[in-house]
Amino acid sequence: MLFDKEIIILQQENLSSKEAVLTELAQCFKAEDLVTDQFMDGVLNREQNFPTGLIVNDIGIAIPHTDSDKVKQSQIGFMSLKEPVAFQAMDGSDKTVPVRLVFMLGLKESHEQLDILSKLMDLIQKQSVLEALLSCTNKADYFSIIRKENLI
Amino acid sequence: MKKLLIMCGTGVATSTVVTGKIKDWLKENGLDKEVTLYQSKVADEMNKIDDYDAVVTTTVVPDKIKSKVINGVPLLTGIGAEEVYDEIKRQLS
Repeated sequence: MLFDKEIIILQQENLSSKEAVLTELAQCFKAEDLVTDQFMDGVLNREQNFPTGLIVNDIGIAIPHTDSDKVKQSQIGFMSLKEPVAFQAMDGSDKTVPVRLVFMLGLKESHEQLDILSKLMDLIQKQSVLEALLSCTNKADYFSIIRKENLI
Repeated sequence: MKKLLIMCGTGVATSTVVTGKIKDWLKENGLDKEVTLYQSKVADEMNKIDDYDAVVTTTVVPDKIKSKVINGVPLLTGIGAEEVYDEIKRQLS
């Protein structure tokens, strides 16, 4: 259910800023009518004030999201980047994280999705899965990775 | 009853995951009957930090409360998670 709209952008090139990455993904959410008009601004502002960059074994990941009142239907979108894009670290250390994997979370009611969110966080702790996501070039492979991790 | 607050920027995503992890950890350590968990967003808690025995955050917090919070990001990435649990335990005891 959280992946059924297939918001999956693989091996994206030529996005030079985190704003461009967030805009691109947020537009996909809007195009599928999953979110309100405020979602994109919400995600951009949130990332500015509360960054979501994480680094796990040298691989940079971002999990941008915003308040649930801007979401009509829950969905998780994904983008992999050929060249890293700088995000700020989530922990407030002012460090820059070179991000190549982005999971955009559009969550209506977080408590119902604790299970899936926990699995997503478990997933990002696995080096082999992150490497598989980095090299993934088609949707079928992406789905087989997240299926193996019990996300769907 | 001790009070433990977990907060993130929106109160929907990362704090939910961290709350789940801490809940499991409390249970494993037999502390679940002694600690009440609260989940919220930073903006709502700014002036209430002192009401809690320990505060874990997964996001940037203003400087004035920085020294009073535990960085919970390791619970998301798994790297350094044990140290975070140790610190929570220390502050709750």
